Amino acid sequence: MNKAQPTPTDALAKLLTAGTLLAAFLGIVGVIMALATKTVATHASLREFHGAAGAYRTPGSIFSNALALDAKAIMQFAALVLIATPVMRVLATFILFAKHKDWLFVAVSAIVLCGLALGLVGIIE
Amino acid sequence: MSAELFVILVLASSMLAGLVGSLTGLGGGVILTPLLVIAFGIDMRYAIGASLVAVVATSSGAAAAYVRDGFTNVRVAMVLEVATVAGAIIGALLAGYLPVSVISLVLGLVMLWTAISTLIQAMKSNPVVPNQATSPDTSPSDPLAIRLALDSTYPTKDGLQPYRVHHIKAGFAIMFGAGVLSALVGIGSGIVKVLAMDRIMQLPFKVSTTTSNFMIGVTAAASAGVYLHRGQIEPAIAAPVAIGALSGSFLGAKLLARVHVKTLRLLFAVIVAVASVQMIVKGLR
Repeated sequence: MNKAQPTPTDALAKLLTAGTLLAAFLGIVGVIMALATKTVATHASLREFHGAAGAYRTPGSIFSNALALDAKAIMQFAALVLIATPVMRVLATFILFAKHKDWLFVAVSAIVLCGLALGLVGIIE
Repeated sequence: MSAELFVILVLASSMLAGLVGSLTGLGGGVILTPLLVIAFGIDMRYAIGASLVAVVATSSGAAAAYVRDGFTNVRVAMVLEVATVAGAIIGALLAGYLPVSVISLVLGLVMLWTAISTLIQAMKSNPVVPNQATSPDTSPSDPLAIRLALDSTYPTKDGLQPYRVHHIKAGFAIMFGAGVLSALVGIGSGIVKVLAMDRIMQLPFKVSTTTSNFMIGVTAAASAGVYLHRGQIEPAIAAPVAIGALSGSFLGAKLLARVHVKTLRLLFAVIVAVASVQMIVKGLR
């Protein structure tokens, strides 16, 4: 394998596929549950911006509400898994570069991870 | 409209957007936001949030295949992601202060640019042949490329072809802009990313497009995180849009060999041009 590209790309590919499939599954389950329990937001409520309910805004509360089988939380959890998939991919590259003792790229991946964390943790709003 | 019908219509049209986005190679974002705003009358802020989630989804889905094939330059992507993620966070912050009309106007202009460049490309007699073996790059690499070990190889019909990376600083600066734009209007801004890598950094075309797609997920995830906390990602709309776009793009990858892409690109350009005028008018009103 080329020295300049020490990344086991198969692992990255599998990670991306797994995240996408998991999210698709959760999303479909959530939509079906929401339709069955009639908890989908009406079209009219989306014409004006009110913002999603607080329970669907932070990773922690989305997760706990999804565990409680709230249909909308499961749908939102699907979106969260999608958003988290590239973050996991960067984390995986960070680990791979560390294994190869490529410290410059460990630092580059760490900077990208910090940027992503800023958004996800809710420091910036 | 009943809630059931609404969900089904959103799913179906997002699927169409994902399908067309993947067949034309232009991504779904530039169609999704205007589709939700113009056809469904959904508030721009919800539309942008949903579109970003769909953009992350289709990028991850497609990136898996490209990474495996050895086209994606993971090191180049990593370096440039510093710029796109920083840009995306600034863009998401900016979006909180800008009136919706300004965002509509920016989206309209990006759409118009996409339409025009697609038309120009489609009308050229020699379309870009992906994966063509170009003459070996003899100009020296950017010293930064050597220090960061960015030069690499990519598969062609004649085996692995080495390539060099140029003008990293200029590419980095454009990527920052791509990040701002992506967050501001809820698109992948692949067109800007490919421009930076193909034209400025002179990477092979196929490496540019696949590396761009690889980066889009990370870029959009950065701003999607901010939008999640701001309540712009509404489950009722984001989930159906993401599922629709994802299934559409998978279908597109399967159909790609069997459709006449040039005609489709022309049709796409005309539709995007018409929709862009509507977004610009919305922005100026």
